[in-house]
Amino acid sequence: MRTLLILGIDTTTLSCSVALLRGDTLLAEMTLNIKKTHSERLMPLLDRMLTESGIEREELGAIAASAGPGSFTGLRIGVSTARALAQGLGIPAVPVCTLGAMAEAVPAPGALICPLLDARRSEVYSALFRRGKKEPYALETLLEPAALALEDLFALLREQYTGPVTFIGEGLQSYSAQIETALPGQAMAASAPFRVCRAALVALRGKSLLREKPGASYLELLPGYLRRPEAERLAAERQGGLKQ
Amino acid sequence: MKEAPVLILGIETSCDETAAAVVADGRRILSNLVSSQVELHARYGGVVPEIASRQHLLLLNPLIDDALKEAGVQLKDLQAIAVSHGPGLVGALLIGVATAKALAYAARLPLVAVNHLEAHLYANQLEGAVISYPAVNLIVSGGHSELLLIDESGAIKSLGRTRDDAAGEAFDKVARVLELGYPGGPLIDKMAREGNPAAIDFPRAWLGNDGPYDFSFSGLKTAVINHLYHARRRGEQINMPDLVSSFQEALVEVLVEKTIAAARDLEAQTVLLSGGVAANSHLRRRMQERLRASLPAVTLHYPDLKLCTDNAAMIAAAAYPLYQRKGFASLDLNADPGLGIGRP
Ligand SMILES: [Zn+2]
Repeated sequence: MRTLLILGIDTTTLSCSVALLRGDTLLAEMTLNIKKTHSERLMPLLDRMLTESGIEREELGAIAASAGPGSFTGLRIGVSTARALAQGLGIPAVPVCTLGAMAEAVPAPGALICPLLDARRSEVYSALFRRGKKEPYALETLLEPAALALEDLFALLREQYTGPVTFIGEGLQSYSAQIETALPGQAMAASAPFRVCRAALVALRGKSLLREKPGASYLELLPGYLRRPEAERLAAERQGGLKQ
Repeated sequence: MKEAPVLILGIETSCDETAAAVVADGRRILSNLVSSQVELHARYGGVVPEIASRQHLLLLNPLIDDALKEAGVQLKDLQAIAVSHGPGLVGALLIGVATAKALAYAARLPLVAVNHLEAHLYANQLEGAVISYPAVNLIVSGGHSELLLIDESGAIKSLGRTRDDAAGEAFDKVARVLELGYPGGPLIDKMAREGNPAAIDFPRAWLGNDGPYDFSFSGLKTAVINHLYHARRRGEQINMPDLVSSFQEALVEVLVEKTIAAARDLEAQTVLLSGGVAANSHLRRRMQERLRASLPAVTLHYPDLKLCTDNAAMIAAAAYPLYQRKGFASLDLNADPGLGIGRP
């Protein structure tokens, strides 16, 4: 039996990325980090990658899609595409947390990793991971992905962790100055090219999920918005001061 | 030997109906499934785009599976996949477009992009009606109010459209103000039967020469709100059936008279009604009466209720002529929320 060929997809932020992972080998990855709609870019990019790699679509063994958090519209394009590809090809598919995939970009053993995406309404999407110190250097989740105020994230990091924290992700563009002020000496920023969401890392996370659930159906590939629709939130607030 | 039928899978997600259908040769419905989100949006009094988009994503793939199963076919038996790519809500359209592209790619099938508005026309054809041309088509729903002219060759020209609210939108907004519920169309239609349509003389926007086939319903909506406000301030008892009946009468009269004028001016052989508001019983009756009285040679067609509202069978039917002349879409197809008539 050949090693599983996994297609990774990420359209949750500005970048549009596809990758092919076979076992531990990254066969191909194509990433566009330009202002162009994912709807127009994603399928041509995937087709191009398969053609350049000499791989037929029917050879794909599974799909891993970045399911959020991120732009609602963006993540839906990736998830819808992954669901329909899996449906049409009859292969398994799994959702991967965008923040977890981003954390995979920081390889240093023992590192505390804090991915950051701008969530608007003065909040960020964030989480905290620790990279294992020994083989297989797996990521341990210390803080589950959530939408939270930057100040609350800072307080938590200050109070509960002493070691250096590596920040990564598009959120650094807007908040790096605030991070430096709030966590002097503790915060480190991943260099800019490593902040982009990459499908290779989504496929890598997907690989371990698929090991646990080899037959995962595309029906279970669902978005992880981390937030309710605005209209629903406002309606709930009107009804009884319920805050999300 | 009889030629095998052309089987097209249609996908529709432009507003709040998730739909999938399989149609043979653009005419014969093998399956036609619609999963309505009406109840989800009811508490907001209108369609919430973000909620619609989320729901389409959840519902669409299993609905496609069901539509194929009900038609007794598999993906590989199809000749093409068709999707409406506009007009509509952009986030909602994107779910259908992304799904159709990926499914067509996976199954190595051609992709056909369909204009949702033009597809409404094909609902009549699905009913087996033989239509004589030129035909004038009134499309009225929660999203659109348009008058179209279709000639023998199938070419479609827009004659006019609403300048503000769509007809169905006016029904919904008035129903919300009167606290009747959502969607407003069927509720008002029912209540209006008990009322006097001549009780209140609401304004009709004829728009004169600069828009003989255009519509405007926001003034009418405002007039209803003002009437209600003043009646309440004076402490008057409001006769709801009279109020909604008079509102409906004003709206329907404009739709009917403008359609008749277009049919007369352009020497149409047929008048077609489509869209959700085409289900309105007063509109159907009025149109029939007025045509009989002033243009007796013109035939009226309106589809069955199920084909009036948004569905995917009409998308698959509209894709058939495009399929025949190989008018296929490429992988960079995008949603076009403002897509107009007569454009590719
Ligand atoms: Zn429609």
